[in-house]
Amino acid sequence: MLQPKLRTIHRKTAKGEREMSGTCVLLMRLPASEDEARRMLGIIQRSTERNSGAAIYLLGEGTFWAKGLMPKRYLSMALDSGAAVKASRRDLFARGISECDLDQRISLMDDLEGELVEDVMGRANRVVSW
Amino acid sequence: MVAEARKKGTLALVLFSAPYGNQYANHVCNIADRALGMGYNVEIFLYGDAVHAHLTEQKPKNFVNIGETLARLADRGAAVYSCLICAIARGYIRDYDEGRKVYNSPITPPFVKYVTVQGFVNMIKKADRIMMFGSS
Amino acid sequence: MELTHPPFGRENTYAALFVGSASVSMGIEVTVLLAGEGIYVGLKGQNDPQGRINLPSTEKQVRDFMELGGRVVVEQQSLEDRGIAAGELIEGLEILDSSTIADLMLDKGDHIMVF
Repeated sequence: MLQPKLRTIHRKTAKGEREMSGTCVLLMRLPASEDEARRMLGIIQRSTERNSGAAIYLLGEGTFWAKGLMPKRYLSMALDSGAAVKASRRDLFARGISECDLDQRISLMDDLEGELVEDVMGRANRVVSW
Repeated sequence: MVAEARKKGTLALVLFSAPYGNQYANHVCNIADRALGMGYNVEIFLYGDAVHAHLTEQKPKNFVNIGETLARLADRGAAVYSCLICAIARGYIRDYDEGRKVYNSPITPPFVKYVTVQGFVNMIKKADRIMMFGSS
Repeated sequence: MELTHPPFGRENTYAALFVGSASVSMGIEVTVLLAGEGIYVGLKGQNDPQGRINLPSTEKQVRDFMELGGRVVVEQQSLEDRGIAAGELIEGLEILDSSTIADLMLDKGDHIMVF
């Protein structure tokens, strides 16, 4: 599966330094309703509209966003808007979710926690966790 | 250069639910583990029911021992704070002298530091990033 | 801080407003967002919850929080979905649409904590 570039979160200053920008959203559970899904990802949509980049991390129970019909639709909209979506390979496979079930644009990470920390501490300027 | 400066940044992880009923405590421990490994400072705050996470003598049968995991994280430099009022409410503090702000908790490991809400706010002020776990 | 649960059934509202008020007292600019089921935290007219259900009034917490300088905003769509009129809310709450709230988070949200 192609790894999407992290260009949605990285920006460079005129000096070529990596500038802090972008929003990280960590999802560790499913939305209770469509309304909640809308709200959980609302900041993502706005972030990409403002061209400041966004990334979504699916961890633990949050990996089911990649599988369930309704959350998958919202995830797809986020991907369409330019957000990166990263999921834990370990958590997906433990839950019996096959790679074939996933939107091909989702990146599977062997170390999602490490990726999350690196993005949150090193590249983004805010994080929201659900 | 910006990324290097961040290396010494502080990540605050706030846990709001008790261990074993869900995976939030595990997520906190795993993320703390990775952050410490990458050289970041890590501060963990146990709020509400999460104070149960630091109880000594936990013996989960089929799950990762959260108490022991927190102890190992503390050994590696993570600061573990627990809400004093929450701990008093849940029976962890056996003797508490509000006037002298002295308390005794024989069932809390020594690496846990009890703080009031002011301590929590100071942690928020100091952190570069904060993540909440278990509030759902 | 985003509140997503109604008052009293869980500790979330109390815990969030407790630290929210302390934060404002200690010089942090704090905005509490009521969204989804958290909308119900914004209803006025709680009638002696301490006496009736042994739980402290979250309405008082909200009012105290605002008196200290905190800001409380309410998501318009969450209100409309639940059929709650503006007049039913505690005075001083601001009703904002989703885009404005998202902009607020992006512009002012150094730390976003969801309770």
